Amino acid sequence: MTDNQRRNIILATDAGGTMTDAFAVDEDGAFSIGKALTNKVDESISYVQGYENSAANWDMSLEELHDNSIANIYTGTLYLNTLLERKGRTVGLIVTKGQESMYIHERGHSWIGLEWEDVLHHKLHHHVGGDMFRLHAGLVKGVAERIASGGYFMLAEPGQVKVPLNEAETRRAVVELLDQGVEVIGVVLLFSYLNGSHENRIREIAKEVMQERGVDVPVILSSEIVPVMKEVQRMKSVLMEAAGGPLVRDMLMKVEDVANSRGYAGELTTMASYGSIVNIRHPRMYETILSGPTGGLIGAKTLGELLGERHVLTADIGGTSFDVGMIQDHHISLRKEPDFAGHRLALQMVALDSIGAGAGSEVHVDPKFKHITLGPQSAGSDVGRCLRHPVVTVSDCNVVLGFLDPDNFLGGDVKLDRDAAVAAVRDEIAEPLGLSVEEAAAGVLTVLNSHLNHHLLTMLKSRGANPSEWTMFMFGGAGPLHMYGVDVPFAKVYTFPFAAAFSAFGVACAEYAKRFNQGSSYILPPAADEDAKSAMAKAMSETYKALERQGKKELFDEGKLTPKNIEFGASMRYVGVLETLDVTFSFGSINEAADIDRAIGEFEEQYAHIYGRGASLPESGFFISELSVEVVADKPKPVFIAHELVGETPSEESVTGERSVYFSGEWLSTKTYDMDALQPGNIVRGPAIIEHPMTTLVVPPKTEAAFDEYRFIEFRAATG
Amino acid sequence: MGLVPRKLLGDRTLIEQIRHSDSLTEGGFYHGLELLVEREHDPITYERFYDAVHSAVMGARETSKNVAASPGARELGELLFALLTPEGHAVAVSSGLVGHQGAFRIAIKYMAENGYDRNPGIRPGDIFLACDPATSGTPHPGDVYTFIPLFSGEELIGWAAGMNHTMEAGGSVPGAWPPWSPNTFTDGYLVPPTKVGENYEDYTWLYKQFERRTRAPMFNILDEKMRVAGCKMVIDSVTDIIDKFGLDYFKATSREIIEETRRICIDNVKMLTIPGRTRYVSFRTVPYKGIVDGVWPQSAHNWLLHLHTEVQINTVEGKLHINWDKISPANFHALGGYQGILESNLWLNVMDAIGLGLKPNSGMNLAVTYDMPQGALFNPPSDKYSAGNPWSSSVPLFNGFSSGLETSKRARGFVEESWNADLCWTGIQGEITLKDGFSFGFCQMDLLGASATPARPYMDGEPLGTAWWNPSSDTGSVEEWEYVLPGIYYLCKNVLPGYCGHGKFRGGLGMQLAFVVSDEVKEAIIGKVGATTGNYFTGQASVPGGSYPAPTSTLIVYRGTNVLELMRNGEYPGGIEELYEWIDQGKFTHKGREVHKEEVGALLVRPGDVYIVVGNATGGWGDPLHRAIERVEQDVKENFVTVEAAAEIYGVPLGDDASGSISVTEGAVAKRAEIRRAREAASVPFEEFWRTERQGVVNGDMHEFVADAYAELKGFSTAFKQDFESFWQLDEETIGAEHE
Repeated sequence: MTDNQRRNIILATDAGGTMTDAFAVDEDGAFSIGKALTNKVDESISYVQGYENSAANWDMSLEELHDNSIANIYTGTLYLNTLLERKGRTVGLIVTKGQESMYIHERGHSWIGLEWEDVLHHKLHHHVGGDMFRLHAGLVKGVAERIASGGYFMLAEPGQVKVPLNEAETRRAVVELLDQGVEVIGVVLLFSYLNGSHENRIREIAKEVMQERGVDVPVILSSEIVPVMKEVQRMKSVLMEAAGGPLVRDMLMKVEDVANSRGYAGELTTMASYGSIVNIRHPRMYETILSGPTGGLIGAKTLGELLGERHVLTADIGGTSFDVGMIQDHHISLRKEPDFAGHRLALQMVALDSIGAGAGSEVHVDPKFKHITLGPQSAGSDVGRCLRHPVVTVSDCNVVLGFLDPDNFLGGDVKLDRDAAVAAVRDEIAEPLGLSVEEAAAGVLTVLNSHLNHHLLTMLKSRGANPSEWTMFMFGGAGPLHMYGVDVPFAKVYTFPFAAAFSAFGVACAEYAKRFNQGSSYILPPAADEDAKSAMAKAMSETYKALERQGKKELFDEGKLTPKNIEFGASMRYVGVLETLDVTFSFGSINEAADIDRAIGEFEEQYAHIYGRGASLPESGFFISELSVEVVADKPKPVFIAHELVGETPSEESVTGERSVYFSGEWLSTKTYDMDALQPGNIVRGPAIIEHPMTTLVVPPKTEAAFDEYRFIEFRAATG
Repeated sequence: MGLVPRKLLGDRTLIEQIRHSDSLTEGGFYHGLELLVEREHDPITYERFYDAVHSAVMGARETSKNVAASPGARELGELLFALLTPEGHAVAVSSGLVGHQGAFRIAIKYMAENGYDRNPGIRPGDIFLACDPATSGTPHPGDVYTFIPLFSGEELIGWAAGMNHTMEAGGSVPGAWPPWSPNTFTDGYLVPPTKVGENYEDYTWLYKQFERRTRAPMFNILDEKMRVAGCKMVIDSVTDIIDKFGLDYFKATSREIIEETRRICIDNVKMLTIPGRTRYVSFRTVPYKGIVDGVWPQSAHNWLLHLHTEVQINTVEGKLHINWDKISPANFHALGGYQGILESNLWLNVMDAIGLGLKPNSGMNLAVTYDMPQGALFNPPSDKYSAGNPWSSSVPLFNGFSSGLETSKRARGFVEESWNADLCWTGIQGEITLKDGFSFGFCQMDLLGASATPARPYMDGEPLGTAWWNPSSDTGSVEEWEYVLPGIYYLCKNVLPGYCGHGKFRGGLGMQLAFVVSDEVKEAIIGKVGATTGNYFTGQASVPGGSYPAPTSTLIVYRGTNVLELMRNGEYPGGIEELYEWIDQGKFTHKGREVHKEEVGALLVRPGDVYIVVGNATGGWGDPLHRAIERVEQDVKENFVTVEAAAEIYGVPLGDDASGSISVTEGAVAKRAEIRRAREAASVPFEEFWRTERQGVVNGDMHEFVADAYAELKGFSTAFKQDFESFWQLDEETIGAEHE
């Protein structure tokens, strides 16, 4: 195929704080990455620069690229930076009277974001409070009102009004906030997820006051944008939306304008943290705030489906951290309360556990007690002592052992100093530990691999999962470099030629979807009769239908999209237990009594699978605290073409040389290969190093890397 | 034929093994480990091994807590899992209630001493539960421990331990910290270490016991399921680890990790502190007189606890020793305790003060020695003494230990590592009775999940900034608490302006929690306990730099209010300040008001009653007149400090108190000068002060609490008597002569 024939291109942008990656993938799965310095004032400028580079790789013009693109997804750190730099809109907050300090005390969450060692050190605990939002006491107003939950004993109907809204106090609060020049008003009332009438009435009153004063300030309701339990987390999400949402949307509109002006015919989309694409007109922009890490899991889910792997564990190994995620039964595991810049939010987000150690992590050794500590500081683009970082790093160890070629780092663009790496490892690691240079470097990598393995095991155990039923995907720039260190008995372990750009690839794979979680309070006693179940099913059915309608409407409004799939689920627990389990129903929505039994059956099965039969407590009844609906629309995705397999033996052209590499205590003469030259069906047996301009795959003795029909690489024990 | 003692550890029974290990440790190195062979030989594998066992306990906690019922465990994370040696020393601990790992070995030792390896036997999958402070190390009845043995073949090679703070302990009053308890028989459902299940499944009788003997059986049953699930996960994970590293390596390295931690603590003492002795004291009232007289006459007394701590630091050898030879004796009240409360507190304080760069485990307990005299508050004469509420007295006691270390570190130049050692907590507990007669007990942990952090030499404290006993502090969600405790509605959960120890840097603000009992329930019982509940005494052991200590906690009850009617009309007071205004305006009416500075065991409250708990403020640092004026202005803007406090305490007139003709700075300079003049006018030379006070001592002219405390102490502690008489320059003859 010649470049000007490229069709059905998907554009996926990752606009970081420093660099913007402009990723393009065509219908055959070929990709091109362009880079540009992020223009923080106008990101549409760096968008154009990035795709000019990307298009140039394919000998296309920017206009040709856009003209042949069928999807355009833009993600980045704009939201984060807007808030971190305290540049968000001035927010006024109206809360239930008596809860005005929520933003100060944060229910005691003063340790969010600290490493475990620092959590144990109380003097390092600090609240982030309202600083990011420039919030102070004068901007937080309480109004008398109360919605009742009824509690576990259903003493009141869930959502019953216990104290009617005090409209005089509300009016006064709005006036005082407007007097202070707030640019947006957020409303967070207790139990509003069960009954949003008070929050709605506050908005009506606010609009009346604004009309009288001739101003118009948006009013954001927690019951609309984040209708789930736990008021402090809900407040944080409202603050994020209120302070940053519209500003981010405005910038994205600029990018969309420029994309359209250069030939792209569609609307710009971005990523929601739950792993789906949403239009930039999406009404809950805070849901995109933590979308950065989602790409890898989406890509893994896509490839898992292609390969027929139901359960996939992922490890994205970068320079500063490794992120571990799960895909179970082709579903990405989600989390309800992710942490962001010291805040704990109410937000559905792909569940990723991040460990602050990666390929660029600094290595510190306590000479007396011989402790090795990796990270959390990282060399970043300074690599290590082998380039220009003042502290020895994991990368230095990889250079010392011959895993990384100092003359071929990043395709040879950066020359590394092996002698400097050797000296650093000797002085800073080996001598304090009383080891040889090689032993010390290998030891550091063993520690990093050990962290990874324990993390993988812990994640599996937390789901009651057996590793032999799972497949491991390793990616990220350093994923292939460390995959030999995986010591968990997975069914299979894979990496990919595009491992370094896997996140961007994943973004391109994302589906267009709307996810809704509606807080609820359904309690089903253990001996509930059919009538009770029917009544409950009827009420749930109405909620599900309303959420489904909303999802369909939003999809239609954002490009006349039609749903291809709708999933229904619930957050369920035994009465008394506080933690819920999210269950996606295999049977669709709940409409009748029998569906309640089905839902409970599926909940109990999954609960017992994770915690054991002994932990179940059906005799206490069941509590359903959230209903969830995901409405998915069709969206073009990258297509992978299965190639015919050639022979196992790599071609001679693929062999680029030979060098000494330190494996298991000895230096071995090791062939090096060009990853791009290896063909489907090739098997590279260790010891070997397979190199790519953006990553390096280490194949120790007694292992092999097998390229399948998609050129995906299975890493396994040597078969021949 | 009797049962034959099982040699669970090769050629030793469990008690023989414990004695063997203890005798090895007497040489100064834990388990006789003069050399850390495995670490020296291969530090990489050593680190990998620790990473593996630490991941095992962390993973168990994160997963199993999802099974928990009680908000304390799930929502607040008040639980812990650990891997123990066969003797009960913790090798690795999860996050959560980390201090308890110091106490686990007490239960193991009790089982060993009582031949549990013979009867009832200790086998793989057996479950042992313990919640009796005298025998099992649990500090108070609400803390429950579960142990499952770890075997390799026939050999006992360790234990998985899990614990959490439960919702209700079945004591004389509802809750988990029974105040007013005179002895162990009223402390609650106390279980000495007991086999409660096998094959990782509890016996049915245990759940029936919870149902019959506690007021929150569902929570307690689910919490036990959680502990068992977590221990099982630890066992499974560690079994895999042993398969990978080998049994001999596991046994050797587990102990090396403990010894390594002990050595790092010692090194940190050498590095962070200066040599010498510090002595700090805090006080605590225990007013039982008039409350329990007719039922428990032995307890019909008012005590003032003398919580004196001397810290001895030897920086040459890195030794840290605590001398408690001047502490009050044990007596018939709930504020005493046993070894477990000391070990737990010790671990918590060592962790924060000198626990840097180490692997948290029992090595930290081994790094500190202490003397708690026989018969003293935490070493009672018999096992029948109450340990109902020792966290209330031990936290102030250990504020003295912490103050000593903070002072020493500051003297060494580690200013940023210093703060006013003022840790506190407040517990609300009780029982709710629904209209159909069903009732359930509870602990409400809003003010247990976190308390304010104290002021430091360079910064203010923060509200709900940490929980000393649970580094992952969390007070929970109002919405979750109302779910679990229905019928009791929050009127407010806010910081209370001005409620802190003032200073150049002020302590963290305390909280105000106000509740109304709704007409959805029949009635409720409420109680209040805590470490700042001592009537007139802060739990603080020092007032650094002339700062103010924090105010103590208070429970205020308004009986028969009109608040339910106000609520129906869309009104309720959103905090104490507004409530007082409404009372003045006649808008808020009530039929009676009670103020409780002391601990409260059980107050009956009914629909329409309002109760307010304020607590968890911490002390300041330095003279408030030295506080930067702009900080005072900012505090007023944030409603952290009232305009009145700004003027009268900080000397910064603002708002109506400010003069319109001069700047804030000029006004402050003048006001501060005025306050200083007033202070000077109210002062007397120290010698005059001493003579006046001495005369009061000689004449016996003092409060009954104080007089009784002195008498009790002088009869119990020779050291105290000598110090007391030396300081006041008294002898029996003098006292007699001057009396005459």
